[in-house]
Formats: sequence, C-alpha cells, structure tokens
Amino acid sequence: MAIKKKPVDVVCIGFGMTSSIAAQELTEDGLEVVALERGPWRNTDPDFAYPQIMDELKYGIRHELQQDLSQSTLTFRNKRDQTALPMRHLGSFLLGTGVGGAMVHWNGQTWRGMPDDFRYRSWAIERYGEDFLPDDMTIQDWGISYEELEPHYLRFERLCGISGQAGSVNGEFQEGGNPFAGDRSAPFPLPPLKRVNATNIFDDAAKKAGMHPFPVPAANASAPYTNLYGVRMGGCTFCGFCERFGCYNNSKASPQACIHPVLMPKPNFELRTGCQVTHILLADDGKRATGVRYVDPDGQIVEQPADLVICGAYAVHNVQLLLNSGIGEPYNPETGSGNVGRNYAYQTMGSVDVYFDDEIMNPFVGAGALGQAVFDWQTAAFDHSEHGFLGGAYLVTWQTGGRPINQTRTPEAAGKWGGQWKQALAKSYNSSLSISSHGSSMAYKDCYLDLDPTYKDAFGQPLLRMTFDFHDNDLKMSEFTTNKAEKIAQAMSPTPRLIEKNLRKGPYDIVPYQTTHNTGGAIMGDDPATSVVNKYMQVWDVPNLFVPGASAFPQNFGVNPTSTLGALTYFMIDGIRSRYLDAPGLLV
Amino acid sequence: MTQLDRRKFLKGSAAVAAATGAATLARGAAPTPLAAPSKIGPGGDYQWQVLNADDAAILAAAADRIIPEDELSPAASALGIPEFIDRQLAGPFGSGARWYMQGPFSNGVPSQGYQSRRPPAELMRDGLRALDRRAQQDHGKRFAQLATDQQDDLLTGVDDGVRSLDGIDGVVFFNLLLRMSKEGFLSDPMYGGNRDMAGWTMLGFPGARGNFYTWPERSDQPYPYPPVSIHGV
Repeated sequence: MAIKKKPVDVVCIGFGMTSSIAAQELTEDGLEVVALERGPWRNTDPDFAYPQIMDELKYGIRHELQQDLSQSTLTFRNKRDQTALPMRHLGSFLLGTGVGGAMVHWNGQTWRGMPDDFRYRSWAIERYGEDFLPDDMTIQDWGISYEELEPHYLRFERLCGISGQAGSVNGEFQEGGNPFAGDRSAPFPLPPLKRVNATNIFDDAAKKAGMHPFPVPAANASAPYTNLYGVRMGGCTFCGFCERFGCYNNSKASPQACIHPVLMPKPNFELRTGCQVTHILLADDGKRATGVRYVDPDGQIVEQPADLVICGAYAVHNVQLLLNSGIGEPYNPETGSGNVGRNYAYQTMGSVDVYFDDEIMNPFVGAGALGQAVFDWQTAAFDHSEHGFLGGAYLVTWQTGGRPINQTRTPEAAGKWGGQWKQALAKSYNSSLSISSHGSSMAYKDCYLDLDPTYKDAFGQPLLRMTFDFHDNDLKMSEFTTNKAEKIAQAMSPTPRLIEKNLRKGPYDIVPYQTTHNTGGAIMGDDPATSVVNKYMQVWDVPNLFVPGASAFPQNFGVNPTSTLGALTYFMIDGIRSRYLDAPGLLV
Repeated sequence: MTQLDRRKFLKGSAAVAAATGAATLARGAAPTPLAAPSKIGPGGDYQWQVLNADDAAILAAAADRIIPEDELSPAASALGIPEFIDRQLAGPFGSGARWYMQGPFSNGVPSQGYQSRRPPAELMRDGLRALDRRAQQDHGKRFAQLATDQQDDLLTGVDDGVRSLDGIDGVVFFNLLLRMSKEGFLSDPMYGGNRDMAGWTMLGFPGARGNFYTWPERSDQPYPYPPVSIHGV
C-alpha cells in the first residue's frame, strides 16, 4: 500500500537543469512545487570545494558524480537482430544523477542551433529534393522556429552568464563572431573567454584555410556576473576541471550556481532527495496525469498527487519513464507505428591530432568551453548536393584542461605503453593540440529506444533498451568534416611535426567516451501522429504532463544540446504561464 | 571464447576464489586508508589486500614494463603503482560496486563493452595468475623471472590478442592492467601511486593548483611552478 502525500500543484521529476528552471519559474506564480530527485543533495560548497574537487581519479575516472549503474543502466545493441546487453560501466556517455544532474559536470559549450536546423527535413527537400534523403532516414521538422526560440535562448544565456562574441545582432554582423549563426536580439551577456596559444594557432590556421573562426559561446563566466535571478557567479579561473567535475568557483553555469540560491529558500518549494520516481500515474481515462509514484530513501512506495507533472529527468530517463508508465504508443520499428522511443540519435565525432616540435601549450590552463571554432561545415552552412550526405559539424580546438590520465594524446606509432610511449607522452603533453569534428546524427528507422525484455533496475523496472548504430550518411559526413579539420591542421604555424587523423568508424561502440548528447525518444513536432510532445513540451495524449529535455529533439544537429533544451524549457514555461494555468488543456 | 570455455573458466575461477580465501569484495566498501607505507615495492611493509605477495610480484614485473625506469621517471614499482592497484581493487572499484553486475551474462560483441561477471579485482587477480602460467608454459619460468624483452614480447602478444591466456580474456585483462598502471602513475599521490609526483613532474602538470587566471595570455611560455597535490606533501 503506497503512502499518499498531500496533493501539490506541480511535481518535477528529477532536479537537474530543466526541473530547476521549471520550479524556479512556477513558484514565482505562487504554485506549490515539489521536486523529486533520485540522487543526493549537492552544493558548490562543500561538494565541489577546492582542493578536493581537483581529483581526476575520483571524479574524472571513477565517475563519482555520475549515475550509479548498480541501481540502473540501459541495455545496448547495434542492430535489431542482436541481443541487447547491459552497459555495465559508464563509457560512451556520462549520465548524471543527484541535484543539478548532468549540468553539474558538463563543460559549458553553449550553442544555439542554426535557424534551418529546426526545419531540417523541409530545408533538405527544398534544396536537394526528396530523393536525396536515404529511405530509412526519419528526420523531421521540430515544429518550432528559431525565431520563436530566440528570446528564450537569450533568457537561458542570461541565466548562465554566457561568454561569447555575437555574430549577427539585430541584422548587423559583429566582427569576430560566427557568420553562420542565427540572428540575435542582443549580444552575449559576457565577452568571450581569453584565448590560449592552441586556440590562437587554430584561429590563424582556419583563416588561412579560408574558414571563419570565432570563440565558442561558453557557460564559463569570463568575468563576475549577476544573472537574471540576481544570482552572482564568479569569474572563471581556468582551473581546467570542468567536464566530470563540479565548479568550485560558481563560474560554470549549473543549477547550483545559477538557480538554487534563490529557489531553495522559497516556502512554496520542496525538494526531496533520494526519491526514485518509477511511474507517472494516469487517471482511468489515460488522458490526465494524477501524479507520480516513487520509492523513498527507506524503500517505501509513495504517491505524490499533482495537477501538473514536469518530467525533467535526463533524455533517456524521460523515455524510460514514459514507457514504464504506459504513456503514448511505443514505437514499433517493424511497422513504424507509435512514437515513444522513436528517433533516438547521438552525435558523430571525429578528430585530428596535431603534434609540434617545441611549441608550448600549457594544456592545464583550461576551461570547459574555451575553444575556437568554425561553422563553415555545419548542418545548414554549405551545399551538400555534391557530397551525398546530410548534416554537418563544427570544427574546434578546445583547451578544456590537461588532466594527465584522460587528457593526453600520443602518436599511434608510440604504442600504448613502455619506454617509447613514455617518451612520446612526455613530449606530446605540452606540445600538441587536437581539432574535433563535432557532428550531427540523423534519425533512422532502426535507431530507437524501447524496454528491455530481460534486464531490470534496482526498483524492478525494465531497463531501457537502446538500438543504435552509425549510418553511412553520418560516417560520410564525419569523414568530410574531419578532412576539413585536417586542412586546418596543415595550415598551422608553426608547422606540425605530425598530423594524425581519427576518422569515425562503425559500429558505434558503447565504451570509449564520445559525448553525453543523447537525444530523441519523446520527440516534438506539430502533428500528434509523428511526435510525442508539441512545441511546449506538452504530451499530446496527456496535456498536464510536460517532458522538457533533449528527448524532444527529432534528430541531433551538429551542436551540443544544452542551450536548446534550456530555451525549450523557457518556451514551455511561457506557454504554461500565459495560457495553461488559466485554461488547462492542449496549448496547440 | 566459446560458451563451453566460458563455463569452464567461470567454474574454475569460483574454485580458485574458494581455495585461496580471496579478499571479500564488499559492495560499496569505503575507500582504503591512504597512509603510505614507509617502504614500497618487493620486500616493503605494505599489507596486500586483494592480491597476495605472489600476485604482487607478477604485477610489479608487468607494471614495470608498462612504466619502465628511464631518465623521465622511476619504474612503476618504485612509484607505488602495484600498491595503488591493490588498494583500488580492495575498494568499490575493485568490487564493481557502481557497475551493473546483474545477469544473465553473455559475451556479446565488442561494441557492447565489458560483459564478464568478474569484477575488476577478480579480473586482475585471475589475469595475473594466467599470465604467470603462460610464462611458465612458453618459457619454463615465472613471469617475473623472464628477461625484460621476453616480458615485453609476452605482454605485447597478450595485448594484441595473439597469445591467449588460460581461462580469461587476455585482451580485457591487459586493458585493465594498462589503465590501472596509468592511473597509478598519474593520479593524485594520496591514492598511493605517483610517488613524489613523479608522473606529474614528467609531464609538467602542475597538479591541484586550481587557478590559472593570469595564464591564458602567457600560455606559450614555460609554466614555472612544480606540481602540488591535494593534501600537499
């Protein structure tokens, strides 16, 4: 018999970025909000305090801040005819857990999508014709435009204190910005981060190669900043411990650094940690969510009734919850029917390593989004017609840190161990750089999420099953853009002693880290027949259930997802506040 | 490995564990205390926890080939790396406390990653013993007694998957050995390896300094300060 809690206006599942934004905003409207977080409470002090946080082994290698897979994981296979097996330890992506979620341990690379990304299917067909799309490619338009999202992108940037150099502002190009970016209604809140030798070398070479470099928009504050909620962030110290770590200085945007100081004291907000939501509960007619069921820290089953449910967990967890709760129709890859789980996508990464003779880089002088990039080969920036693929990538030289276990590189010929490897490691550490090709991932019929028939989590719920592999389109794209990165490397001064290209090859492998940019499964659109949520992140079938997150992306574009899902969350809040609260029901 | 082989070695490893009274691999065990022993390496006063002295000698010999002594740094065994590995194996990492270790188990394909029901501590211990058996089989000597070029050849063969080990996937074992040796070389010395911060000194990594605010504009100039560790030394 479940314990029944007193009903509240809003229950938020998870307490990372999207739920923290939703709770902060909806409590302003006087609503009573409860957030349920499966992991522990965490705050900048003491959890990310200096010097303990500078521990690469604990946080960078043993994943202290990330999901404990003994409690829950997912299963994985490349192809439908294989048996999916559990992801037994973290690898390809690093799932968050605990207060702040994955935004605690991100790098802070804060991109907007390109305007045509949001209508990518229409854009591609207009330019290249319907036949250009492979038969099994299932990309679609987002059901929202860049113009609709723009003010909400800006709001998110003012939440995070983004440092960057604007491209176009109100139709006027700004020198040094990204010429391919969508128009902005205002510059970035803060000037770009300082550059380092490696990013200067990239900048010069990219120009020589005829491309258009600019500083990456960074959620690492280039100066002290007071955000839209009046929360003050410190200026980034370039400590080099961003991704996989919490920020000791409140310089990297996170719920802790940007929202919790104003949210946590509110009397109409309550956070319960150690509470694993297992189900979203539905009324008998299946058309209304009545609340959620969760397991509390004592193992008790608890029901929390609520008028409005915000499913704000990580992308793959949102999908697992929908499926385990029987919400929407599960996707069937045989027939193509159903939408929940459909269009899972990822990111297609390549790189070029560049070794110099005597150049000094001091790679440990870093910040998670300290980088110089080009958009010349981005999804909608060039003509694909002669290349036979869709999508694209940004090319970038990062200096995110020089952590010795994970952030070193050695030439292939040096081997992986022994005296020769040691010599190469010592020489390369301070005199090399890398160019990443951070590429898109289109959606396909046979890339999807469903429930695993065999394996269960610690709460007895079926694990999510991921079926995913790279397709030729995306591998071809990655080869093309990685070759462009090689062109930049060849134009570098001083002349590199060695350039090594790492082309992305199939099959997709769940072990080596690639990105934590898992998208899709509860995708958005303007038609209930082909989407799970509308542009307000509102579930078509259950209008008092909202599912913000990268789970809503119909396919993955060439940039990191965080800023877009932040903007979508603010867009959702706008819809709830301006219309839903007065007249609950579908907003579209 | 065939299913039959797999069943055989799983059965075999259970028997080994029972016979040797292997260290309990408690889930969620607290990290091991970090007080460094006064003398490390063979003949030191470190109390082995997961490995026994015999295993430790194989480990030290192998780790010394991965991180050999040269003008850049002392060898692995002089840096506390075998002890680091044993400490890690005795803690939550070694027991796979944060790994999904529910069955059923099946080998799958390489892109599905680690699928053995052995947690890292058992993989390391069983792997070291299998490596030693392979040395005896091929050369009539224990691994630690081989000449260094014979050790290198054997390890290279295991790493490349051309010299198989008895009852264990040699490539998977070697990967663990390699990654843990590097962790011991390059992690904060509070974990018992990277003695005197020799790994960090070799690289020029300044450790837990935590603030380079004035350095981006000088990032092409030599950084003048030596490393510091989290607790200081």
